Amino acid sequence: MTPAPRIVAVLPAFNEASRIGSVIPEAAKAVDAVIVVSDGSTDDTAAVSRRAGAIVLEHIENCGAGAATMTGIEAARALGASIVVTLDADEQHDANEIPRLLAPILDSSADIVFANRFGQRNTIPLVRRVFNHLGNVVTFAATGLWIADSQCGYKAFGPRAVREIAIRMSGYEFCTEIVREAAQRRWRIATVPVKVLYSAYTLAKGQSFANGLRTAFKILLRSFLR
Amino acid sequence: MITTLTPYQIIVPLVAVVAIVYAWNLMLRQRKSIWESCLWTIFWGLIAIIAIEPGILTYLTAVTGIKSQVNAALATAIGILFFLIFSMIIRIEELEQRLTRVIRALAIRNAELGERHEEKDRR
Repeated sequence: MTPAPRIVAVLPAFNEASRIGSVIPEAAKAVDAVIVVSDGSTDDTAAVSRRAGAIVLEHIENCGAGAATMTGIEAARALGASIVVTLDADEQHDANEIPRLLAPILDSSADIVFANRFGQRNTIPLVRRVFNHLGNVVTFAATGLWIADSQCGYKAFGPRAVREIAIRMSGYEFCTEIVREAAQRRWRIATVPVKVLYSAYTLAKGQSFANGLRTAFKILLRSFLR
Repeated sequence: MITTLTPYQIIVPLVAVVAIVYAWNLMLRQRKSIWESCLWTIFWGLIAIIAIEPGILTYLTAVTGIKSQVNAALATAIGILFFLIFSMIIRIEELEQRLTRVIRALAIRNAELGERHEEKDRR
């Protein structure tokens, strides 16, 4: 009999002490273990996460969401995980939707599942919609693959993707790098519409326009000079 | 009609061919995607075409106003400087990546995951 897959949730977190405590128990309902990567946090993110039952890894300096995600995936591999779910630590993603995200992997129809915040009725500010669409266009230019919501951190990686993934970009551009990995390694892709919960807090923590431009520049430059 | 090619018109297309072969070689070794190799092919292909047939630039001359050789040299110098800046940005980014790798490795080492995994398996 094939052993049941070990499913691990990875939450990259930077100063999320006020939010992460409620995300961990919700995620834990759907997975075998929750890993939090505190990315140079200066608040109590690590302590709150430990109290909530997560395995905590700490970056001594802030490296960016991409680096934190890759640390989490490596830790999940070390724990013997065959499936990994990544989600934001700021309550933006509904952890109750993890089973829906896992479904295409569990029925072996996909190697990677991208959540799609635009696939259902969500209250998303216009600026966010425009930025995300631009992100999709840049991602398409760099990878040749169109993903409806390429910049969303809510993803599920199947056994093949967990084995093969190697994110090198440290910042927000890692979302595009994941699409590049999917295109280059010819992973089977699925997309699942999800709910998104934007609040003043999550909007304030989002990327600025200048940061978005810098990310787009880095993506195009890297893909060209690689 | 036989035209005489200048050394420039021979060397540049040869360099372009080497660069294109190199890009596709990287693709075959899975270090570049097909998309990136295509972008490189278009880029070097255009450079080779312009080198062989500089008349194409007449259109650009009309659009940009670069008419004299001095202007062309200036434009080339700016292009080279841009390329150098890009290379330096990439170098800086590589250094950042090294630093990130050290921080990540430290985080994983400090978490002692190997022991945790064995403990879980024993249970």
